Amino acid sequence: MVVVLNMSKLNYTPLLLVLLITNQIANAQNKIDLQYVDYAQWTAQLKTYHSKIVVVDYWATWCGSCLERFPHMVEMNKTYKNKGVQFVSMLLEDPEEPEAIESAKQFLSKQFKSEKKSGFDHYFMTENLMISFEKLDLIGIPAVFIYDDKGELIHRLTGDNPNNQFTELDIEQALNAMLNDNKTSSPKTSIPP
Amino acid sequence: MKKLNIWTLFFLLTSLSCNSLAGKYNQILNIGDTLPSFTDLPSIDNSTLSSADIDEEVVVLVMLANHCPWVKGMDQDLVKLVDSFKGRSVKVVGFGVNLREDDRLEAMKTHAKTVGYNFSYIFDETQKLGRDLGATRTPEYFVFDKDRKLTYMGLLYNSPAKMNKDGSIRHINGEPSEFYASDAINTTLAGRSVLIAETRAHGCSAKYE
Repeated sequence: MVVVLNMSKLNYTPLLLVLLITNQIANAQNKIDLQYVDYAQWTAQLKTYHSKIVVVDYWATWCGSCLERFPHMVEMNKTYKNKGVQFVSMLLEDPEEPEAIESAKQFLSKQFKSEKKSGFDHYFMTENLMISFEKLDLIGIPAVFIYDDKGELIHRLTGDNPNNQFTELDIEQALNAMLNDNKTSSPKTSIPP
Repeated sequence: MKKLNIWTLFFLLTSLSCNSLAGKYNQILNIGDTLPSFTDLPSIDNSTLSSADIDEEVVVLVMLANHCPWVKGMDQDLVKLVDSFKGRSVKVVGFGVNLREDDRLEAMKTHAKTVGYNFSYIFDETQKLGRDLGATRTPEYFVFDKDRKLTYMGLLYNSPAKMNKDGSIRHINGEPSEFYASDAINTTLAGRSVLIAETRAHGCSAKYE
């Protein structure tokens, strides 16, 4: 006996609903938690990363070079996160443009799609965009600031000088040097004679 | 001790003289510095332009990049600025240094036509002009006087505008109220010192290779 199915009469609605819900759950699981901070809250927040080297990547969705660099930061985070290095992204968008902030969240979700617990923290600076640049003493982005485990700003990598631009390699070299310094200069546990 | 003092003095003087080479924000040029010369840079009208060819009293160089939403957001205001100095001795030259395909000369021609650029627009593949100017943002303005000395550098005005994906334009601080570049051109034409001579440029990064 041959059963002929009339495809046009099949009801696809339940299947589509299941697919939609599954997709929404997957998206929700990947959703990035963006922490909103003003400059004062940000400086206070930085102090909470005590005893870690902190790498801050300043970025925006309107900054093409930032978007190009971001996947490298994601990879670097994988390499260094278990070595006492905290990676942080700081989004610099116009606070009056919620669609840009939403687009940034979507970008971040894609970057961490395959890594749900990356340990990479994400912030959004709520100040007026020009005020943010002024307070951070930045002319432009991309820019990466690296703080030592005492909270002191050690490396300020920017594109402010056309003859001294930085690459991902500079970030890695700076981190390796700081980690080596920590190894050699960290206080040794005193052993009683 | 004497030796130490001499060396301290030497380093102090060296660092002071280095700082004097740069502006408050610009790390290469300072107000009063001479226009970096450029020769035979290709223009969107298929000619070339050299700094020595410019006869106007005031020269305004503007670093641009087609792809940049901040450039797009302020394109029409740049066109208006150029129009406002029509008939006066002011030469406005836009220039690009980015090597990405959508910022190169062919793309510059298309962009200029689309948005109605009314000024010379040249491309420097060597990126030397941008480096010599210490230009890092797009757009970024540089105004030079009749002696080709820098009188202003930085923003067009106090509320930079960005073009969004839907084509809408939004100023960061509402309608601009301080017109730094325009004021600087007027003041320079009048032979006076520019009051706000340097501002923190805001926009996309120039990508130096």
